Amino acid sequence: MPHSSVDDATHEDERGPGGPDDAKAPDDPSRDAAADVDEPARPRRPWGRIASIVSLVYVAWYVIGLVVLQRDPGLFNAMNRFYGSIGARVVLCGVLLALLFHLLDGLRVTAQDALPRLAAHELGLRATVRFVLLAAWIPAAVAVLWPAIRTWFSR
Amino acid sequence: MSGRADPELADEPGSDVPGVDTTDRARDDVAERGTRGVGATDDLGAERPDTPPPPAQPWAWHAVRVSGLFLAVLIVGHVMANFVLNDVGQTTAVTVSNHWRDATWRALEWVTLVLALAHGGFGIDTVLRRRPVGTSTTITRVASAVVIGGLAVAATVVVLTYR
Repeated sequence: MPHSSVDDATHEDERGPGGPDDAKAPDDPSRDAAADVDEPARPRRPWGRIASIVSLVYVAWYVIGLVVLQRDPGLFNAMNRFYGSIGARVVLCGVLLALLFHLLDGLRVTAQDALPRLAAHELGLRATVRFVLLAAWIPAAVAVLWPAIRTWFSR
Repeated sequence: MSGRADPELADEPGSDVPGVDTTDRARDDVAERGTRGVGATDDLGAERPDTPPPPAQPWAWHAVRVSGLFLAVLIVGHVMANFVLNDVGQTTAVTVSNHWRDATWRALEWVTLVLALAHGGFGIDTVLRRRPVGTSTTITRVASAVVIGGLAVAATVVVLTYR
């Protein structure tokens, strides 16, 4: 049974559509019995939940950074110099991906809550979320990474 | 509001009426749909006596939705300002100080942070409400509220007092 999108802040993406088991009815004999056994304990698509947790951790970390800014500006500057390293920039790109996914998937869920007829277009909406996600994230990731990559060519 | 019986609920065990399932599982599905209220009325708009009305969602659920809509705009601006238009590696205390001379910028920063923390707090609360009531759930709810509340207070103090 397809999952309800009217769920919670984490968007409950564990059982997103398109998976092989989603296309089969629960009483379909070809359905993998092991999947039924494992399903409650092991969510298959926890991306929504991961993205929401990463987003919240980012906000908490940002607030901690502001507290550091007020207490010790020198430490704040050192932290930001560290963020300028290539490793930290890659992590930031991952955080950006999580933020954007959480934002776009949240808009999809909210739209489906407000307009129930959109439930019939759920696959299309999910595809739109993925397309817009990549269309927004790739340029943003390039913008974040480029200052570090540029230094490789200037040496 | 849809007036048709949900095909997902049709013809499942426990249904006394064709197309309408009265099992606990079906009721849970209807409850999950929340404000959609699928199956609450028939084609003529009359309430079906064997279908439970859609339950009201907790206020935290609505708060997550509303705060999320505002954040959808605010976070884009935050990301653009902090990561895309400015190099995060070049940001210093002086940069932030210059930005925050503008009261609008400072207010936007505060609104974004507090709204994001509230959004996260309400989201956690919504998830934890579904768990069985127990000591660990209660402790987790209280701990998350304390941590998020503390972060919101810290953000407010910094934004208001930083020079």
